[in-house]
Amino acid sequence: MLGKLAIRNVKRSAKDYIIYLITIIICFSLIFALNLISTSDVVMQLSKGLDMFQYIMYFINAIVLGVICFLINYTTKFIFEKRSKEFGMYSLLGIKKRKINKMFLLESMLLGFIAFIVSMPIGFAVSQFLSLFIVKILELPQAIFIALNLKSVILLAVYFSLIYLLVLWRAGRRIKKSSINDLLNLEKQNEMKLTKSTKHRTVLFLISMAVGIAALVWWNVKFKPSTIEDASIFTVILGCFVLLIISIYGIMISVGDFILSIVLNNKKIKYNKDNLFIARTFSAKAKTMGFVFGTLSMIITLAIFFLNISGLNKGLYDYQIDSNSPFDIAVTDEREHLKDYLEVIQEDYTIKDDFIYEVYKDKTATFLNTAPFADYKDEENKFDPVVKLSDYNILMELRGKDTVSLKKDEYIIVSDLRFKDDMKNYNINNITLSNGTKLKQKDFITTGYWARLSNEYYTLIVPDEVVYNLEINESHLVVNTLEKTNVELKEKIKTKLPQYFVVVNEEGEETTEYYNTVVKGELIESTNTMTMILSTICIYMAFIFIASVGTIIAIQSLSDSSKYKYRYKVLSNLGVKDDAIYKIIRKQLLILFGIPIIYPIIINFCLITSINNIYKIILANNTVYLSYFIGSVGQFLLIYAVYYIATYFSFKRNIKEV
Amino acid sequence: MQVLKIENLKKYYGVNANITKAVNGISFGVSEGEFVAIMGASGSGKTTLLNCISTIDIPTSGFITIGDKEITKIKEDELADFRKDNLGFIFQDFNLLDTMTIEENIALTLIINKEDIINIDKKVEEIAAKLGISDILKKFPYEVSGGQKQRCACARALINNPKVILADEPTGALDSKSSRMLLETMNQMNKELQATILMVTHDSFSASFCERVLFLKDGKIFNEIMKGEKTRKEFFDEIIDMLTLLGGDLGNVR
Repeated sequence: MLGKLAIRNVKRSAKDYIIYLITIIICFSLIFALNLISTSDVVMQLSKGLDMFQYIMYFINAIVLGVICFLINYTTKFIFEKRSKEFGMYSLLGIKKRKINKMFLLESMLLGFIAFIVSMPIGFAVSQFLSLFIVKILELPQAIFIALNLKSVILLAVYFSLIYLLVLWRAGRRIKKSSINDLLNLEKQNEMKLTKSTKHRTVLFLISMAVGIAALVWWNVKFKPSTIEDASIFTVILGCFVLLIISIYGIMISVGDFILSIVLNNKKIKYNKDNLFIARTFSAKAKTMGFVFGTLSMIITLAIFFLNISGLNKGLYDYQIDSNSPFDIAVTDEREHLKDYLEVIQEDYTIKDDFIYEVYKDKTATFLNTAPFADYKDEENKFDPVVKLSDYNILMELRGKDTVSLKKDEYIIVSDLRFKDDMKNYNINNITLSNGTKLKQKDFITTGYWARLSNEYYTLIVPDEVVYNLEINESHLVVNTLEKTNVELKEKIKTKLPQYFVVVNEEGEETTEYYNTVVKGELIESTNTMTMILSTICIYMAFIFIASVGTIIAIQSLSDSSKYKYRYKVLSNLGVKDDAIYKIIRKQLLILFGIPIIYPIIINFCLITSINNIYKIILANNTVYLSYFIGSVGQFLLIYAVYYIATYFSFKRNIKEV
Repeated sequence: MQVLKIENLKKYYGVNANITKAVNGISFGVSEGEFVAIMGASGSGKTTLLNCISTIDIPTSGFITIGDKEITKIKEDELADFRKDNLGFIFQDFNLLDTMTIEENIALTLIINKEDIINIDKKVEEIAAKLGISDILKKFPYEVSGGQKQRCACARALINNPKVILADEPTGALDSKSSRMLLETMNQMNKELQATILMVTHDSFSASFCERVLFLKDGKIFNEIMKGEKTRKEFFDEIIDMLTLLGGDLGNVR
């Protein structure tokens, strides 16, 4: 009978907890899918770097489990409170608490067990989908099949039991501790209030804000290229995180009252449209939900942080490809050899663009002579590389970037950010080329840089007419193809034109070097698998975090919607139209969903701006991180919005029900 | 024989200056097979008194004896069993479980305490027949009327043969016709099944079905009247007079 009753109760509450159920199914599915992949032999054999994947996954899963545990515990507590009157009834009818407890456990287990069972096939499907993704990223020749393995199932079962043991132990204690009277009235109680006086809260708010600012400033000071390699950096990271956690909790506990005191003390705001109703509804929440809001904010901070890291990582990857091989093929050789390369390429590929240009030597070597690495170069190689403006502009056009213009006596220097910082210190503006032309610096740019532009760290771009009498160092061929290039093309060039790869070194020995030819496909293939792993893990964690937060707020709001249905009924009776009521609900939910995300977004913006101090030298430019930041926040809001919308519609349905 | 005995019962809420004496020294007894009503204005202490008797609330001082058990001395652990064996409850808002059929609702306590299934069925059918709800046993609470729900609650309260049935405003959520039917049912329970009923009510019409009415005011018994040989109508008038005397909120009463 207990079992039957539990099944019925689950059925009945299914409608209320569908968002919760879907969330934990997705969470368990993702855990299962990543377990399958990280324990799959097929995947492990793909690359050495993937060994680490498995160990990272254990660590990551521990964090993820913590968050899911919080979610399930919170929801179970919530369901318990909602059902407490019913449990009180059972107790009144003479059913012992032990039995009531058993029934509730059975019910919670059943709900969890459904998620556990359903998540296995879904997780399996997701893992196959992810395997396609792996195949594509690693450009593997054939698809891989990720088999079900017992280890993953056991691992999932262990995770599942751990969570439920903990959650149900807590629920059991809750039932044991409460008297019938508590049970009968629990539904009417709010969550615990943490601080009593409004004045204390304002002080708390200001202190928390100060702590947060201190942490962010400390972080910013320490995150400089000059200090990043200090051993103390880990202490700094840890310290900042602790301070930020304190600050987040402090602010979230006090912010509700802080805003309210502003709204309620100002009659103009207070009596403007529906503000009063919304403010009062929110105040009941804010006063009592501070701690939960704090936890939610912390999870959101982490979620956005992980998305940011994933974004930066992707940016790093894109920049590496773009700065090493913006064209599908780039060859450096003598001019008469270049047509042979083209012929080999044409055998298998359709050529979209091709272009040949020269790099000239400026033997004055004004820049080189100031650089620390000048001494390592032999006499013949002591020069500044020079490229004609028209050639450079054609290259820029082919890359889809902006062209530049120069006056007769101007030059531009192109380099990457790392060298830009160094070279700025040399303070060179006016130069005289070896043919006597005097030029002054118009600009120092990084946008047009790529490693193979001149095979040097920097390149001078000069007006076409000033290169007379300059010796040609080498010729360059760049090619874009319609098809995507792959590693076989490089192999083919190597075997078809072996004579071009023979290099005579300083001792007069002949060696074979292949660095003069770069094929984009090869580069992509050899790019670190860690990029993929890191991105996948970050997105995976972020998703579970966001889903947990969304679910908790959704459940909170939905239970309110049935609990305080009468409030909306009163509004309706007072003559407020349905549309206006829906607008109020939208606003209310927006506040509830919005409050916990504002501070995390600010924190993350500061954190990533500081991190960019380091990353900017290996990213495309100074401000590109902003696009990753906006992208991360966008991704976050997208998933979050799904929860918002789902909550809104369920809310509407709940208050419409009679 | 007195099945329920209350001696100098006090229940205070709050501390120091803010103290509320919800029940302030009440003593009375209910004999086996009696049908007693407790009346009084809002805040007179009716519900607190009932909560104390039903072991939901713990009194500040005084004694409550049901059967031969002094309930303030029963351990928390054994209270559930005690309630199951000795008390039946009828609430204003029915408190039926909407996931279960009427039949299952009635049998719930027996089922969960693992009584013999054949025995359960027999008991349920017997009681349902007496209360006239045999034909709705297979239905769910949301499929039947308020009056039927309340009769189901009565059946649930009766099924254990409790020493006392405690009813808290049983007609509060019913229309006058259903109220009348319910009260006649309770009267019948009292007469035919010898059920002892203690009913808390606002409603003088409900109270007029009882044999004795206790009037509470500010946590104390203000007066007590008996039906004796009077007709129900006469008793009703007497109750109204008493309430007028009580200075209670007449608006609530009629």
